[in-house]
Amino acid sequence: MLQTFPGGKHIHGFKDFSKDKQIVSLPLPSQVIIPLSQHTGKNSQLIVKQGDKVKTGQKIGESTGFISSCIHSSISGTVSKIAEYNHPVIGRCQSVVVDSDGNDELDSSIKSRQNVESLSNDKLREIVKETGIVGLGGAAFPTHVKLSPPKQIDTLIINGVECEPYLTCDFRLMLEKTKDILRGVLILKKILQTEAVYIGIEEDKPEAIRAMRNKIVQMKLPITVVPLKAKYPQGAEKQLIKAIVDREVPAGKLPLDVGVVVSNVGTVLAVYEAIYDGKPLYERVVTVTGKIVKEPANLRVRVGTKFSELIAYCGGTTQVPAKIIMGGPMMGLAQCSEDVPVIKGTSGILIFSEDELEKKNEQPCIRCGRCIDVCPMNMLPYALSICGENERFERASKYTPFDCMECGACTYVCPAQRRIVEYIRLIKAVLK
Amino acid sequence: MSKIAGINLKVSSSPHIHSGETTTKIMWTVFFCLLPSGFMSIYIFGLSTLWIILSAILGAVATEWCCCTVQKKALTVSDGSAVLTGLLVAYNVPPQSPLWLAFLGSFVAILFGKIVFGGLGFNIFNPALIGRVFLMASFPVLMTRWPAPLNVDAVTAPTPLAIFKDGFSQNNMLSAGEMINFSYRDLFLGFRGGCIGEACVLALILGAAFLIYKKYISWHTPLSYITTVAVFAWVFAGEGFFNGDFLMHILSGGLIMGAFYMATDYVTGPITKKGQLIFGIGCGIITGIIRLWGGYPEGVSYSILIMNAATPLIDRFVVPKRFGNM
Amino acid sequence: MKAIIFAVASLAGLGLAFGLLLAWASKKFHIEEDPRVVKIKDFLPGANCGACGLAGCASFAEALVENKTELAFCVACSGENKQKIAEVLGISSPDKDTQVKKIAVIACGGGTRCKNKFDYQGLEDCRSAVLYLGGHKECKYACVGQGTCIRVCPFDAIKMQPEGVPKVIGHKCRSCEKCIAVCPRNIIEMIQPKGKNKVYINCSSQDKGAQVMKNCKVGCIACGKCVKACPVKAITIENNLAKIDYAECIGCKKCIDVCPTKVICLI
Repeated sequence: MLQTFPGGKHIHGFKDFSKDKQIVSLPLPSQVIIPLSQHTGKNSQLIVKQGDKVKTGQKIGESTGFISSCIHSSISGTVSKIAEYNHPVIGRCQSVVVDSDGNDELDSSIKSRQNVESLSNDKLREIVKETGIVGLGGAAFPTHVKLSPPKQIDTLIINGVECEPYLTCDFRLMLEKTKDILRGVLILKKILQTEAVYIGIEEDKPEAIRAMRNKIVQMKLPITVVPLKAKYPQGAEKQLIKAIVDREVPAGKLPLDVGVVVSNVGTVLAVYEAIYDGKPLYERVVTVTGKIVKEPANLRVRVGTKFSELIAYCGGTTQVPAKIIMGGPMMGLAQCSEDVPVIKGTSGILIFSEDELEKKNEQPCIRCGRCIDVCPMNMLPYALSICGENERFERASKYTPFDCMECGACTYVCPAQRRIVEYIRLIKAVLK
Repeated sequence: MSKIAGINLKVSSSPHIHSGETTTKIMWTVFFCLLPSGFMSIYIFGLSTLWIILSAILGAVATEWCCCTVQKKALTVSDGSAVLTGLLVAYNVPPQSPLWLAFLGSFVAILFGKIVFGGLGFNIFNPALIGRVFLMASFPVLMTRWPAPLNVDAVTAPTPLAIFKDGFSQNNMLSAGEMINFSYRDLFLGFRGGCIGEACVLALILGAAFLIYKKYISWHTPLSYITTVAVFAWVFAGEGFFNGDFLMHILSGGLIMGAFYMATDYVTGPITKKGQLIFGIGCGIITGIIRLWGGYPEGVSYSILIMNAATPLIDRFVVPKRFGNM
Repeated sequence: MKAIIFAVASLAGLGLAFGLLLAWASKKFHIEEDPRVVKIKDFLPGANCGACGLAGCASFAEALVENKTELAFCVACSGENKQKIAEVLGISSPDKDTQVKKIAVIACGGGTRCKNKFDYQGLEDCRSAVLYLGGHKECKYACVGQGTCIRVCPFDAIKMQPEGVPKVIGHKCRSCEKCIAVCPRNIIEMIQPKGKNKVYINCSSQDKGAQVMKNCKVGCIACGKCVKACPVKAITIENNLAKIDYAECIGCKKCIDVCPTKVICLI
């Protein structure tokens, strides 16, 4: 019996498009647009001005508080403009536009370190903060905050679940960068001083489980790989903790309240590169996929590269795109154009044609109870959707709408095709 | 801003994919799972059964179509719920009954069981059972005239439950087996008096097994319902206690059809699994009471309707424990 | 025969008994209602808009009689009726006829004349529409046109225009401000025009003129023509947007004539 959490739903993976494609680096873009808001928390403070020469990895945005992060230039060149630009999450955002000089010259501060073992934990945290590392799973929560828990942590969980259909970037990283990820895990383990370390991987990725296990045996590491049932949303932080160590994070609390820190494999790799190579987070792996993408791929991309360049590199599309999604199909955000930059939280670009879109024909709730069965938070999504539809927001507050993480499982299974997540979002917006 | 060929991209909320399950698909699947029982009835009670079924479906669909047109609402006929209600009404009238009876039953079921509440999803009571109860109250003679199986000319074959009840109330101290000429095998295959749909238990169970396999219905309501009736019958139905013929109680009457196809109705039953267990137990107890001590030989329809009324109460108090609320 | 008599007699007896019980109960549990409350309720608009802070007109009437609230808190009641209520209460009317009525205006005329960034396919609710990439209009100040204000208006005073933006019908507005509370863009404001011709700036964009021109055909480009045309200097430009000072405005309509993008409108 595989470990898992109550609720959830198995969803067809659609990962075959890109799961066997090796990660390749996208050619250097001629221009990058780097938004000042790429993470949870306060915006970064701009420290360059128009006309400045910048180098790859040079800091251009300073963190403005504890829950904030630094931002670095992803290419070398000239700051040509500082203006509002399309942003994949918030629509518009103050951004730094850098024109490439084509040299990709590294900033002088980027040097590989030999003496990693001798660095103190505070120094390690400082490096993580200075290199602007945030959670690469999607929410982009600053990693140095996670690594500075106010109380003792006993368990570190590495999230290699990637439960969103279509996305394969974490899977590829686990295959191609196994050793580096594990060395990154050891750094996190050292900083947090935890005893137990688990890597959670869904059972439908046996190659990744095998690769991780072999390498762990080879390196003789005290890390356990936990195969998990392939079920959405297995990769959600609270559900992953429930599945692996059987602890429930209380409503409104954080994983560290139950003594756990969860980190994504991509983030761990970024930490490894930051500590050993001194490399700031200016590039990440993005899966470009979809039925109509000519050559789906896993690309290593500089932050700030426009979506259109990634799509063009993949050979474009066979049909006219009707929807471009940043992230996976369950929680990803639909985009208004191709002219949007990749940010630190961009795990994938998914393209749908008109035929693949759901033609939603919303009907009244027939109380079939499927939403209750799949809700990973054990809420009553049907009741919230009815409250939202009738604008009974006071009543909706009884059904704890703020526990909802908008995973979309309820909406996925609803036979009446009700837009449950949208109603819950509306309720949250009104009650806030 | 650059747009692909000048077309605005579509932006909607996540999730961007759907399981493909629809209300329509569920309704039609339940409909097809009910059909084998109908075919068995046509075989057992004659071809006239087919016309009854068709007239009931016609009644339901016509009523729904008229109501949608008058209310200027989008037509909901194709979602299959009206067809299903019609079929269930037909399954709840005796074979050989006049065609208008089934038609009228469907009319009442759709109009007073569904449309007046606001249509599918808003009704409190199972529409098909509203139709049946209306017919029972208005045409008690027609609704209890049972033709004998495989012999359409003999018009008075009482149902096993009626025989059992009458025999019992006359203090006829015969054992169940002697009193009734039906073997369990006959009951199981449907060679006995009864409504159109409830006759063949085997066909009903096959359809239900498919529905449970497809997760269109859950096992909670039927299991708790049938188990409760069985326990109730075993304890109270015999001489003294703990020797009632519970198998006879399970196999006869409308229990199997009621438990698998009527009590499991999404709209009128509890929404949580725990609630469904309570619902089934409640139905079972009421059925047992009506069958053994009530005025009717059969109590399935009334028990489900009574528990339908209790559904909002059950839903209010039986809620899943929230994740993270220790 | 005997049975019929018995049935009739028993039913009649039951009826009599219950009737007596009800009569006794109505006497016993009778609650004295202040006759003034009844009268005041007749004069109140009865829309239960809740702008007074109480649950509805009935509770407002009770509170008035108990002296727990002030007549001025009712924004929906006409001056004439307030006068009558004041007479019932034996007080002087708080706002004679001198007070000018406040009217809500939706300061955006964009709709179909303002470009779309994308095709919004979500719920028909403005509060929902602004959650996706900040709304589907190129202009970040634009009305998203899902009609939430229309639905919450208790006086049916807001109508959707053919251009896809709602407009307040001035004489129907009773200043309850419910629309202001739900508008996610904060583009509905209360104005207090004195004159017969009630003009307002039908735009909220604080973008620069060139940007506005790119986004929208009917946006304020802050050209300042209205400022020059105004004989009483009631118009100023603040944050790239014309603003009318209603204490000065005389309703001469000169600004309407000069506005190149037809942003200045009559209510």
